[in-house]
Amino acid sequence: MILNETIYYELKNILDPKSIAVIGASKNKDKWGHMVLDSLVKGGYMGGLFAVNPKEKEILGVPSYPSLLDIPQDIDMIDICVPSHTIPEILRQASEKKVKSAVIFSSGFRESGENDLEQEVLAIAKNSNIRIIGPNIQGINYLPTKLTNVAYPLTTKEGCIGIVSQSGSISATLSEWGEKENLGISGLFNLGNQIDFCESDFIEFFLEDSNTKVIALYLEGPSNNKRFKDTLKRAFAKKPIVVLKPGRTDIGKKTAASHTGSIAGDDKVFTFACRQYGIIRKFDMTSFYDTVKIFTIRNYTKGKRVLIITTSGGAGSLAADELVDAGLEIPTLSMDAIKELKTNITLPGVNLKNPLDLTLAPYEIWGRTIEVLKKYEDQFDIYLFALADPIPKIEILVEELSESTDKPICFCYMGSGDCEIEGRNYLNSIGIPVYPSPERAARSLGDLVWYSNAGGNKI
Amino acid sequence: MSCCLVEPKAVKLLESYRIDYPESKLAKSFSEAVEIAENIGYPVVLKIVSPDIVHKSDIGGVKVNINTKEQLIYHYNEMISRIVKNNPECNIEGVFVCKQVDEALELIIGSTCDDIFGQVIMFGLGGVFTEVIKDVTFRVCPIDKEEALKMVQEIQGYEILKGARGKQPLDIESLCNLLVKVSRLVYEKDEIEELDLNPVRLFSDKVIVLDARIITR
Repeated sequence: MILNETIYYELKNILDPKSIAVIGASKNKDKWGHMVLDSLVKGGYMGGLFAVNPKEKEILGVPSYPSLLDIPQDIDMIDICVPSHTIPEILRQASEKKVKSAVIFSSGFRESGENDLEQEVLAIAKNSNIRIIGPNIQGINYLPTKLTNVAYPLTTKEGCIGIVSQSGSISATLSEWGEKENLGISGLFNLGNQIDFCESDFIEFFLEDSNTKVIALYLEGPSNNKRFKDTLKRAFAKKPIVVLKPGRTDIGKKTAASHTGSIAGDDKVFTFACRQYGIIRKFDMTSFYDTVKIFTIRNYTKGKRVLIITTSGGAGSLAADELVDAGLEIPTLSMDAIKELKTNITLPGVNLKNPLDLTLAPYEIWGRTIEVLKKYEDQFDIYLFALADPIPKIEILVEELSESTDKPICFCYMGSGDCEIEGRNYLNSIGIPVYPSPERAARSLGDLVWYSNAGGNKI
Repeated sequence: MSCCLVEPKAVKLLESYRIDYPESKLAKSFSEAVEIAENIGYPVVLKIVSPDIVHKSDIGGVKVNINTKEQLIYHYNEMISRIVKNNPECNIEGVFVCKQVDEALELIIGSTCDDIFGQVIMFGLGGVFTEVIKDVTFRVCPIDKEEALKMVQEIQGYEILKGARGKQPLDIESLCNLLVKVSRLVYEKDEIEELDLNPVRLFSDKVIVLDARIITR
């Protein structure tokens, strides 16, 4: 569709500015104008960077000018961190300077009853062909161009998760969790008042963006209902969307309504509509993050048979229960497979079934076991490693496996020792998602298989 | 402004989508009622017809198990005079005389217009199941037969429909067709604000809508 491609190319352009001016940049660390400039500097933004602050000559090593018009170069994007009533004048200057886009961090618009001011800002922008993101947002982040345009937290790990959020705190948390585990994001859009670009524009962008594999959406209620519905319907065939939406109780719904002024229809209807469209709806942060993470996995599958390889009878049992509850299966391995495993594993205490419990087998036995299992891959569809104990360098074996199989591989490292964190961080970055407990891995796998069977085309 | 279609009009709309409703006709006098009942055969059900009455049974506007002409005349007159007396402001168009349908598993099918998704169809087990365990499911309209079957399969009461404990399996095929037709109806007639088919009776060889309440914009 031409319309969607237009939005994609327009945003792609905006997200690759050759120069940025931060209006209201400050040396005061408590000011957003400081945080935004600091994030851009530390994030490694490569284009021309300028500050606008009449009192300073330089901020954070960036040259500062009294006004936008004093900057001796062309400016593609401006970040606005000054009080809302001064913004119309700034946009007039931006128009003169032929600025292409403005990210308005400032609040003080519709949400504070200043509807006229909001309309005025929009009108100036439209007349000057300036596209607006915001206002009233914590920023945007697009890592392929190192555009870390956020009033904190700064995250720089590049991954394949695209975040669209009606809450700055939720998107910040998600990207920080991802950063901590070396999972990373491709980009992040906070929505705010959405006077120009709206949630569907950003979703459409991520649907086309080759750096993004899964879309994480926090939504209280769409700003454009009809477009949102159309976008969801279309999304299904392109990429998975995981949506976290509050409001399943009356009080939750009222709280959301007073936060963003959103009216979100009937919450039960939302749940069923998501199911119908192949969208995964979540109700809490933990499972939101977990499910988003599973879609970073290298390969998807429609198959439901999971082979559990564990070091612990406990972890194996918990994984098995949760997998079955999620509609997945734990197939029995054939006699041939078991016999061959037996000749390779001569350790006491191992359980050569599914879950396959290797207890404290040394590294070499893990290697030999994986070699044997690869021969019997027709008996299962997914590998789940559920490790309650550290196996140093297991990530090397698992990576080798991932290069020679088309089965999805999911990993659980329950401990948090150095070796486990190292393994986790490595695997997360190569499309082998790692979870801290077997049930969280299992539930997420349930969502992966559900999505693939709902008709996702990335199978 | 919203308005409620009187049942004969609602039924006409259903019939234009080939949705089965018991044989029925509007009577404007007791003699007409008798004639209709003789034609369609006893037992019959009487339902008051008034654009001002949304919930007929709440005001005693439904009478079932009418087996003879005498009972018909008695109840016709009793119903009309009582309702006119208690609800003088209501405009009464007559009485809907409907062929009485045997008992069967009761279902509910409805629709609402959602802010985001537009026309949405709802389906669940009727009566106490709807009220107590809220065993219902929704879909955005229109739906195809495959989606209808998913709706039927995802309610908790699906086992009952399949014929639990040696009972005869019910006509899930016809039920799915009905869901598809209703979804098309509300999708095409988007002036419908709310539709309520309650109850719908599901047999081993057919499905019949017993009551239709349609509210339009």
